[in-house]
Amino acid sequence: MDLKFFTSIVGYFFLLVSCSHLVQAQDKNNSNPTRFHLSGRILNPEHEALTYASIALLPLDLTLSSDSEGVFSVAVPRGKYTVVIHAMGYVEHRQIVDLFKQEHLEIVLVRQSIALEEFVIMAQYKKESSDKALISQTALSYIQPTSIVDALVLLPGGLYSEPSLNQFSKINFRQSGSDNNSSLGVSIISDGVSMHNDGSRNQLYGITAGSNPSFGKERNLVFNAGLDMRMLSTDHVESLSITRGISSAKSGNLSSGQIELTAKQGVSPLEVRTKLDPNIQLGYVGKGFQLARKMGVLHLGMDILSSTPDVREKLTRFTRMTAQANHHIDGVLFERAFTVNTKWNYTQTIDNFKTDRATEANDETYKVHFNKWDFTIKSSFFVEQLLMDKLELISHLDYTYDALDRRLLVYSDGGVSMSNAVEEGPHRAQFLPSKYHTSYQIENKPLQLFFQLNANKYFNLSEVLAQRIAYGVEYNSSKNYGMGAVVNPDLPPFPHDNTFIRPRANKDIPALIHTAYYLENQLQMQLKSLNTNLNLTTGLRVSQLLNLPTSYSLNNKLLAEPRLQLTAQTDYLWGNRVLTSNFRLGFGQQNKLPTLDYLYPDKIYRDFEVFNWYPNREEERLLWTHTSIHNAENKKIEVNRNQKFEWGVDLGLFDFDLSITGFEERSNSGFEYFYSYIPISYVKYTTPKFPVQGIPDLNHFNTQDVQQFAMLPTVINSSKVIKKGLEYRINTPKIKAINTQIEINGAYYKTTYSNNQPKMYYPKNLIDNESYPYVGLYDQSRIHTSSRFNTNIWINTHIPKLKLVLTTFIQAVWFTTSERGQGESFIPSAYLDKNGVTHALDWSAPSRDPLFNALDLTSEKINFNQDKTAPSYTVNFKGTKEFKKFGKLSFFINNIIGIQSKYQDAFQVNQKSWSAPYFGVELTFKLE
Amino acid sequence: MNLKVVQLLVLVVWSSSCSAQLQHFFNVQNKPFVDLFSDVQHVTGLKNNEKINDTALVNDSTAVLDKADRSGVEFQYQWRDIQGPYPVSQGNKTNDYGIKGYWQTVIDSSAQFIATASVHKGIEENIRFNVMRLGHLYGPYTLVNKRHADFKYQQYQLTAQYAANFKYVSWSIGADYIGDYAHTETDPRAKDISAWLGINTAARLKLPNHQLDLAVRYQHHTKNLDLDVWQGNVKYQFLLMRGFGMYDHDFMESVFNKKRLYRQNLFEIGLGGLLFKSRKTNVILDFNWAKSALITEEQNTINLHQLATSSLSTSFVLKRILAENWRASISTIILNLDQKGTENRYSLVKVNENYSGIYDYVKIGAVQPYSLQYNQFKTVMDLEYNPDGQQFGLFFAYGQTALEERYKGTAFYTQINKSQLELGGSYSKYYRNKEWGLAFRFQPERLRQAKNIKDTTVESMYDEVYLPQYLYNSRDQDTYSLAVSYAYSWFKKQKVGVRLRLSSIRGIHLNEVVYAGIQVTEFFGNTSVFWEF
Repeated sequence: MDLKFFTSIVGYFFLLVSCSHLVQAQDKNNSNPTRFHLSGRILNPEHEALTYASIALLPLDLTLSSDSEGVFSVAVPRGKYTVVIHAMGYVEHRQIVDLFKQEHLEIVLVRQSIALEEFVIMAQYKKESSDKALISQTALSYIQPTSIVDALVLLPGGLYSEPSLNQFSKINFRQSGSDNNSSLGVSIISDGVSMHNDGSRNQLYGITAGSNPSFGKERNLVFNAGLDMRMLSTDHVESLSITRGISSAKSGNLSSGQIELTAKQGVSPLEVRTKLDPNIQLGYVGKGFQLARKMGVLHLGMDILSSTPDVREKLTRFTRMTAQANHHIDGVLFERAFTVNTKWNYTQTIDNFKTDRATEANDETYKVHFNKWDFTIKSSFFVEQLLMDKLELISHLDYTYDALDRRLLVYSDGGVSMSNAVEEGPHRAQFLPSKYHTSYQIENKPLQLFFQLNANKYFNLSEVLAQRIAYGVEYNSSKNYGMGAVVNPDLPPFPHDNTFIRPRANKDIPALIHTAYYLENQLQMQLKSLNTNLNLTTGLRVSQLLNLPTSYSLNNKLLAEPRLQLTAQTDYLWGNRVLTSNFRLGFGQQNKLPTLDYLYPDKIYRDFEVFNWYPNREEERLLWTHTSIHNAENKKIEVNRNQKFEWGVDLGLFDFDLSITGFEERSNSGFEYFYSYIPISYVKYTTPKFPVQGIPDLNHFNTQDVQQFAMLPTVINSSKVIKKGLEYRINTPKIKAINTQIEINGAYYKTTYSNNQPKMYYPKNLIDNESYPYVGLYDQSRIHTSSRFNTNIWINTHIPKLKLVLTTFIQAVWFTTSERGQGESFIPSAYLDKNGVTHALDWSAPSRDPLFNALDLTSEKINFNQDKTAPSYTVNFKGTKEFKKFGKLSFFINNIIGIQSKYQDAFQVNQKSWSAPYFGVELTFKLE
Repeated sequence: MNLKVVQLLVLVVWSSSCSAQLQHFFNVQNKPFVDLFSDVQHVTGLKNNEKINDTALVNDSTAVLDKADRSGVEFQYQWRDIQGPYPVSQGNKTNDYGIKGYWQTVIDSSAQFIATASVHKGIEENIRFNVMRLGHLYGPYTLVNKRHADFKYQQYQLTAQYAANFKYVSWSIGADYIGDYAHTETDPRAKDISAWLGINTAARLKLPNHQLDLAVRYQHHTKNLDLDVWQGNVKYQFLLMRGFGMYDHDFMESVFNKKRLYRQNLFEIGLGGLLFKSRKTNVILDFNWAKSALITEEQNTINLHQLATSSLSTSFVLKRILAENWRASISTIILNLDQKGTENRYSLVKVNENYSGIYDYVKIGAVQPYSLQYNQFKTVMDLEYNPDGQQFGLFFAYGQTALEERYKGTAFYTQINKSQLELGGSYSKYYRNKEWGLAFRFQPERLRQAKNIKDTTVESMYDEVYLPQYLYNSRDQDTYSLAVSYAYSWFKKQKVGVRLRLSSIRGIHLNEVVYAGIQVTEFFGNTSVFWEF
């Protein structure tokens, strides 16, 4: 199938290009040129050349920049375009150009200021895909986020939450509740580079997936849940683009959505920014320099963030420093324009030696190190050839050193058995002291390489039909050179379960490599008689995991992800007013590839005590354990495939904008450490045959064959999440009398979490003094459904004359619900015996053995009632005042008013949520 | 029991500030910058607490406005050090650093907008018994656990006021916010987040020879208190929470975590008038009434305590222009304040028969065991002389206070009556581009009566809640204050300046056996440097 499939893609591509080229050729024969040069000069308010401003041509999705003279030039097909020009510190300029001859533009940009009417605070949405939100530099400069998570509150369905940078910060799109697969499936794309931490891995009980570290100081160490948003500074970002719906075929290794970051670049005044609130202190300094003539521009920035989210617990303090240098240059080579962007980023945690009273009292240490270097070169060439107009090459390398060095005091509760055996069978073991100091280290050193070659071709097939073809290839490699978890096997840090104490080094694990190929075709058609523009984007992405052992089913397998988006935008005349409508339809399949941790979990060593002789004299004590080895690896592991369907309507009525988006996402193959009962057999030594003196001899003891079940994890594509919902947004025109514009947005989300594996139940009953012999298997495991309905009202009062912006943000959460699904099975359909054999079970059979009655769970009092919260309302406020031309002071108060009603939960007990106010100030200086 | 009362007087201060706000916006006077005792940030965070003590001296002029746009930034530092017995809920040593920005603009010829924003960071050391900051604001309904803690805090303040003048009517509207985020680093570690949100509006009717003022204000206050223990894997740690009301009678709570929410709504209305304003002798009348309701809420949604406060204050000022540069005034202030505490009783009952172990609290009754009454009378005589470029001021005041506090009839009873005398003077000098000033105040305070009763048969927190306040306040004391200021202006309205204020209180405890004869010395300092542009 693979070769055939691949051939058909290539064939499809050539068909597209040749058809288009044929049309062009015909046009040429008609001596009617299809391409014109659009050129221009961009100036600042003093009419000086504005170098390296960004020029985007919509809907071509073509971006270029002005040169050191502020001049740009590009040949594009005949047509009507929106030219969008922006430069850091200036107001975005939009101009519609009907290109039917050579055109030269002279554009003067205006400096950004609150004194301007155009000051944008909210997220903006593209007409072609209303689920793609753009948070521009003015919006970012107004909301001043500490983390990307802060900016998401602008989107429909976004909820304000108190900034918490003390623990792993993840993103969950379009859902009520959260799960790690969804956050793992969020792709962060920084200037075209897919950022991920799929190469980081940890296998140590108490920390890794499947265990619950929330109670310990190790709770910050979260893997398999995507990038930690705390490590991404928003200070170096000029704008954010968020896609929660269907992504372009160019983007892959994602399931939930994507966030694209555009780095600051270009000439800019010295900017000094500080943010101070009870939990977070942030300082940023940055400036863009014009280098010597034709040497390009260099933007430098550095920030330091310190977060003490719970000021009472110093161990949770998080301090990091980031720096970025972004160089941009363009020129002409072989009469073709090119641009080269070189970016270097550095991230480091400071305050690495953490301590508090408890660690001091127990003589513990907690040392962390995080250093990340990344280097990106992005080159674009306007080749204007048969197969491509623009060629782009992105090369990226990043290296992370992430280490934890922990010394801790352990209470083992005394007499816990301990074995270091690495082979199955009985082994002599040792008793642990009841209290001891031990240490462990976790070291990850992932080196990531990323290359992407992208090509774009623009056609104008006729006056009413335009086409853009994008295609490319991607290579992504991640190799971890770290030692992984290093523990003292004689003194385990988490002795209550010694499951993972014999880990292998990360560096011994092969690199995670995948390649991808994509092809995307965008057709734009004007139906003039209907005043309608149709926009159809079809795309196909094929990924391939390489460098896997041949026994893995994913090895070299071609994984296709088709995507489709259709929009129909229509203008209607109502008297002298224009009303607009935009209907959207989309379907897409998106795959998240397994992480290194999921592909290569360590073997699980479970030790069972078979002989325990513990006399008073220490030298006579003897302990034997039986070691059982379980392989948690799953060679049949597949990708987490997420199927998305969405529809939407946008209406423009009398300066009101209304938008509704409905969606459904289904993922039936999320990764999970799935725990199941596995039969274990071993021999236990019971009573002595003869009186024992000194160290006992096992041969002098009676034996007993033991068969029991142990619950052990295996990586399976078992997690199932279904997301459904409706998002809405209403924008009012500016109410001039009070200088106020209102946006109302919100969402209803319903998310169902379940599992595609059968539920297992093992009764604790004893039968004739023996443990129960069977594990019940139930067809449908637990289903949990959660929903949420919210409305956010943003009241933005902008008074340009006073250089003042006041934002009142009212958040209403009408309800959140949580309930256990009734579709869960409580009668077993099969059972597992202690030999590991599964037998079908006909529960209704009259001859059924009464022994199975213990597997009947119908008599359990399970509460299927819905837990529904009462409405809660919070009011947040932010005011920003610009002083002179250089300063800006903001004051924000979140939860200035909080109204939470009392309600009765599913057990009829009164409940009520609380929310505390949160406040702070921000100060920005811009010095020319 | 001044400390406890002072916070209650916030009610009254705001009443007087209603008229102050009107002064602020409508009587745009060319007052000197050197307003020596004005705009004093209270070191513990509630600036209004301080104002009441300064009423006589400040003369209600809390800021200086002209019709020009101006912005500025001010750096502030305040400290307090008490040697001897001290108010346990506030500690004996305080350091506070802050920065404040202000912005005033004329929107058109008849309207003005002014806003201030400030951030303060500080520490209150040696707070005893209380596990909450500003515990004195909640009457007896505090949470008590620790013997000692240092509270570190950050405080954010924002005020905004808009005023418009019409022919016969003037109107103003404003809002203010104080956010206080405090914590302790000794177990049980407290995270204490308090917020005060206020809105106010005022109107003035301008008649040919008189003016009438009406001002209303609403304030919502919340305190989220969160107590935790982090002694790592030491297993025996827990909190032993105590508090008045239910805990006394039903159980003492042993928990690893404790949360409580305090909520207070305050409403006040002020009615005032300036009579015969164009004559040489005019009269200012002010009536203010305020009512607040405080309620506590536990994590299990029950409301254990309620505290209702009402106050009524009346002031009468007679002003006279004696000669071209001479002004005199006599004013009288009468204040009555009443506070009542209610404690709700709950029973833990089974609420769901379908499942075992499902219990919830059901209210079974309420009692009202706590009451407090505070009365104050004060009269002030003020004389002002304003020759060219100078200003001399002199004032004299006499007042009396009476406090009576009861819990369960006379099970616990406190009575403190005091009399105060005040004498002060000021001098200011103005030049073309600079100004400076000097002011002093002497305030002897004598105890007329002090009495307390403790019923030892009632198990309670008398020693933690009532006694310390009584001990601290049953004393004679003399207060000395000195303030100096200097300001210099240069190019394009730019101005820099410095203010410095020092106070010293020397007292000796009289009645109570524990502190009898013990001397106490308090130092209070406040300094600020500003740059206006």
